[in-house]
Amino acid sequence: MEAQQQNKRRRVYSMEPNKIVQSIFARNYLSYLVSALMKIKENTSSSKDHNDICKNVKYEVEMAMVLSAQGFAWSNGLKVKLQREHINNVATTEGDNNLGMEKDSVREDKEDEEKMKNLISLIPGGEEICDEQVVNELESYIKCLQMQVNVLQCLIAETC
Amino acid sequence: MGGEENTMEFQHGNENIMTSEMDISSVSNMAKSSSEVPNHHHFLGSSAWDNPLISLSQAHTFGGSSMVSHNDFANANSTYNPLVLENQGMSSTSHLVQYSNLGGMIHKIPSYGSGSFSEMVGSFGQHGSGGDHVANTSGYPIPPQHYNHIKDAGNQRGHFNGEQSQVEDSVHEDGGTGSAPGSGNRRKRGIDQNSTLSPNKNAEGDGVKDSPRKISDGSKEAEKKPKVEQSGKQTKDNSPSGDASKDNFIHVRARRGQATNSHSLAERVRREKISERMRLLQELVPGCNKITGKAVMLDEIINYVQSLQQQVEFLSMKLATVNPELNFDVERLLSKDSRIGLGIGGFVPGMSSSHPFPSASFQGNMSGLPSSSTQFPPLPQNALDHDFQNFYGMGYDSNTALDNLGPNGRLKPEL
Repeated sequence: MEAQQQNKRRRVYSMEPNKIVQSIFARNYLSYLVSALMKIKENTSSSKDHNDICKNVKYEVEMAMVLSAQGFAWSNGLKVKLQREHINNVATTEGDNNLGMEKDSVREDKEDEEKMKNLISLIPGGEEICDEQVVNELESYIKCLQMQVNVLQCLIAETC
Repeated sequence: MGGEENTMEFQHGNENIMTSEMDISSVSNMAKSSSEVPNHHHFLGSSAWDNPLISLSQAHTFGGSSMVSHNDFANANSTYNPLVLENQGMSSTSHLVQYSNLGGMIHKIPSYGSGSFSEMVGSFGQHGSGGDHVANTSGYPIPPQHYNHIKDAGNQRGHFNGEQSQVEDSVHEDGGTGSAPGSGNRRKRGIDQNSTLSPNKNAEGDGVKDSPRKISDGSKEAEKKPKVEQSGKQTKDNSPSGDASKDNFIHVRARRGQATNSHSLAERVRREKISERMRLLQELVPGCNKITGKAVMLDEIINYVQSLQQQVEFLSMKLATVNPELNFDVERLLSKDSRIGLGIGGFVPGMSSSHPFPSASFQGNMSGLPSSSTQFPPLPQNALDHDFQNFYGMGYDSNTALDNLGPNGRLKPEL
């Protein structure tokens, strides 16, 4: 336990606070996910359907995302979506978003609008984000996605 | 993000820091359209930045730095000038309250805490091109009343607390007049004198586009999410009527050959705002630096986000398969999180000293952490391994750590 004390992060004011924020995100994400995965593992029996495990893991992965990045509109949207899915036991995949991009030949602006809409639809809860915030939310969402991917990769590398 | 909140503690008593760091005269000068950008860049980059982060909540610093950034923006696109000037005026209050987002200048401060500000400034710095003065260079004339307003505000900065009420009046004006000519889908956000930009409150309370946002207390003022919306837009016909220095409207002059309908003007301003911020996104998406063109940029971003989401899903599935074999050392992982989070050298294979079976086989940089507090009983893995191996022909993973799995030799060949 002393090691834990030593590893405990002190409050640091840094020249690059973003790095700290990102580290904190990673830390939160990891700790949540690890404990959740532990639970899943312990609850898992060999007879359990692998799909169920997948769903659970997916759920936990996204929940970890929500909890590690509080304060963004998209994290709220993600939480809502997760709750909805969890209740319905429906595991939807984000990657299957159907971006029907219409080629609107009338005006370039309209195409841009369409694309913006598509982009916004990619963000969980994106439709509810007002235009002013979209770029901020997008930026934070992309950053968190990147971090999430990294964390997951490291996790897998660690455990394989 | 509790840590960050501490840094943004609103400190009233730090005026010493303020004055020592900010060159007041140069600030006033800026309002008079002379530029001191290089100094301010230096100011921002100085080691005293730590303190400003703390005292960012104070309007002075914030005003100073926001001026710098705005100034840079002013060079790039003078649409923002009215907002720039307005903000300068308003931010001279010691409560950094209102952030009337007139020209649509979003102060990009995602709730990444104080750091976001430096990031914002940094990105703004890119736009600045040698510190031209606010007198715009790209054809958007700044209505004179704004200059007057700002000049007044600029002079006020010399006396921080003294003139506070006056500026705050103008801030209040915003709330009053804002809703009247409200255009389209912009709504005036609620203005409180004590503003926090707690992103929590904003995000969770006001998910809806048009709901007014309360800005509660000022402990996090540097985390200004783009709070307020522009109070309204006027075409140039109305600009003379805005002579009163309290006017906070955006004055947009229609360019030659463009529609002067207020709606289309609003649209145009909004579009330009968005495209401006797209540039900021360019840095995020890898490989987008050379892309110019909104459509292509949007496509890139969409593709990138989609691929990231797919990757997450894929990785989570993979995690599900290896879940039964979880035996990693939480301590060790957490100690590496700084690298993990930043994505440096993605894979950080380590040793799990706690657990017998793969421990010896991992290559790794065991940093001397004691064996963990988390000892996980090994599940009957053999059966599971087989199933998973067959199910997911693990062709995609060529991590060398996997090769080193000793006792669990079954994993190797399929990998």
